[in-house]
Amino acid sequence: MNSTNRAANRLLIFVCGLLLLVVGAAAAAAVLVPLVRDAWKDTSGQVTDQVASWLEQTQLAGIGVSWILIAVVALLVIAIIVLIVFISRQGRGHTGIALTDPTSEHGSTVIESSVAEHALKDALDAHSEFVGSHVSTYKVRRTPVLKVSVTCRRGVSPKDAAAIVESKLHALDELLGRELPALIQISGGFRARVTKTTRLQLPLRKKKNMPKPLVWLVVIAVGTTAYVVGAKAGHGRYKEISETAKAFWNDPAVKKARARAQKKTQKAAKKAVKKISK
Amino acid sequence: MSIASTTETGAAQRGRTRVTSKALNKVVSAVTADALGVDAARVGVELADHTGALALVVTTPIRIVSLDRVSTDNSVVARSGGTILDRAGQAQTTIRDRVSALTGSQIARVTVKVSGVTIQPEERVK
Amino acid sequence: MSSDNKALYARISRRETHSPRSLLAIVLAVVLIIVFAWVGTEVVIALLGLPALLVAPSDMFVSALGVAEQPAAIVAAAGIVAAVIGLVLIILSLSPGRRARHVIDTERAATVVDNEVIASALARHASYAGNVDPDNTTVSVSHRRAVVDLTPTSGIPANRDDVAEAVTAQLDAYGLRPTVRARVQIAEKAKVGA
Repeated sequence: MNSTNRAANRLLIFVCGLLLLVVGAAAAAAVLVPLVRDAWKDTSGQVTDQVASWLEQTQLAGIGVSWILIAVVALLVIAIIVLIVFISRQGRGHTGIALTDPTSEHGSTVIESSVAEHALKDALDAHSEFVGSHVSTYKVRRTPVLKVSVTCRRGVSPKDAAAIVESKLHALDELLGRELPALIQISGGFRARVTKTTRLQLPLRKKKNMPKPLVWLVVIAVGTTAYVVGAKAGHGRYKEISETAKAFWNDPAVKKARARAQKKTQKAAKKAVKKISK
Repeated sequence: MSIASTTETGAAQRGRTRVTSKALNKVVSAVTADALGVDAARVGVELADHTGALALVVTTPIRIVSLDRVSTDNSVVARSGGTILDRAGQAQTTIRDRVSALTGSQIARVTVKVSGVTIQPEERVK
Repeated sequence: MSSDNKALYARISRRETHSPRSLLAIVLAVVLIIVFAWVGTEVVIALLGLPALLVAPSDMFVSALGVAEQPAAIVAAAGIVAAVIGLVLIILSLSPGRRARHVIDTERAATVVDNEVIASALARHASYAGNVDPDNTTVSVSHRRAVVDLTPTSGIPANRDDVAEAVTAQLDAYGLRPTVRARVQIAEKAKVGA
């Protein structure tokens, strides 16, 4: 019941699918179908020349680099930011306030979600038809809506379950003084097919909440970057450092300094030995 | 940020009594707890200034009967003081009147935030 | 307002009975971010004149254009695989993605029920009506049908009409949306002493 933009999800999937389809089909056709292959070869030369001339013409004075490339980088950065925002907006929607009642200019009343949630859960747990219940509050179209999720025992009729929850909701309306819109979700947690044994099955554990998408994103991004940068650049870097170190070590001036230092140390050692043996 | 309050006895002021915010907190907590039937330790109070007068934001649980009793017994809500909204509205007026009487401060706004419930256990059937 | 609530409940019911496609969208978004970041880094490095990390952008461009010269088998295979994946993604984005749930029309709240619960309740009533052990009853509930499979006890035949009547009565009482029709199948081979 969260505020995920489902149309955006489907649009992204559609666009990616379309892109893959077009590129894949074009590549396969370019290789397999002779007509396409010849046409491709003919035009590729022209395209290369055209792009090269664009890059030449759009050179920025003073830097000698085409602004098209800079614009491309800027576009990519914007795209990345948009995608990160897209991921972070998945699955929000919880709200802490169930209703606000401005009584007068001298004050107002705010009823937090936990009031309705607590009262309902306490009443629902008393019923043996339910193995468990969970109440939460979401904002749907700016209206706080209660989500009452009940897990039924095997064989309980959905109509009975719905009736029980509805009677509790009516009681809540009476107690609160206002009617809160609500969603009732009736689930089972057991398989539909009755098993061989008549042993009462305990409900399966509820699927854990999906970890925050942003955490995933950060982990994947950091991991990949670290690997790529470490592997490639690290290797190059290591070589660089070792070359530099060797060059430094074999430098004639450094060699001389080394030899001088060695001599001095030997002299000092001899002196020390003499002094001790005296 | 302490809030000074003065009391006048008769026509002449014989001195100044300063009621600190901590004392005000305690007074408001006690009044709220009494009005809504909860423990004073569970009431949170925020004091602010509203163009010279006091603005109170009280965060408190509220004492209710269980929903099962409400569905079986029609009159229990009326007997326990009315709906939650009614009681909160009533509490606003009570808090304002009693706190201003006790401390002498002028109170502009009272916002009551009901943050939780204390469910009354079932009374034993005799 | 009840009419406000109706629109609200309609929206909630629709969203609760269809998949949001969140997981797929997030995975694709992460892949795109990685690809964009890599390409952006390559371009920036090339602009700065440093040696490329993996593939320089000019090389990328040249190899993309010259795809016809690459070994035919690999390119064709990769292209076909990509095209198939693309097609699958397009279908997933357009298909409704129905979840295994039904909506119950109620006055006070929007109600969605998992098919498991419906099946479990129907199994209980069907086994009672058919005089069959609940362990020998299997019910599968799909979008528009409930298939009841009974394995009767040898010597005690199960009356198909009784079971069908009981199950249909239950389904009508639930008031499911979309309506579910029952189909009762009694196994030919009965169980001995069950």
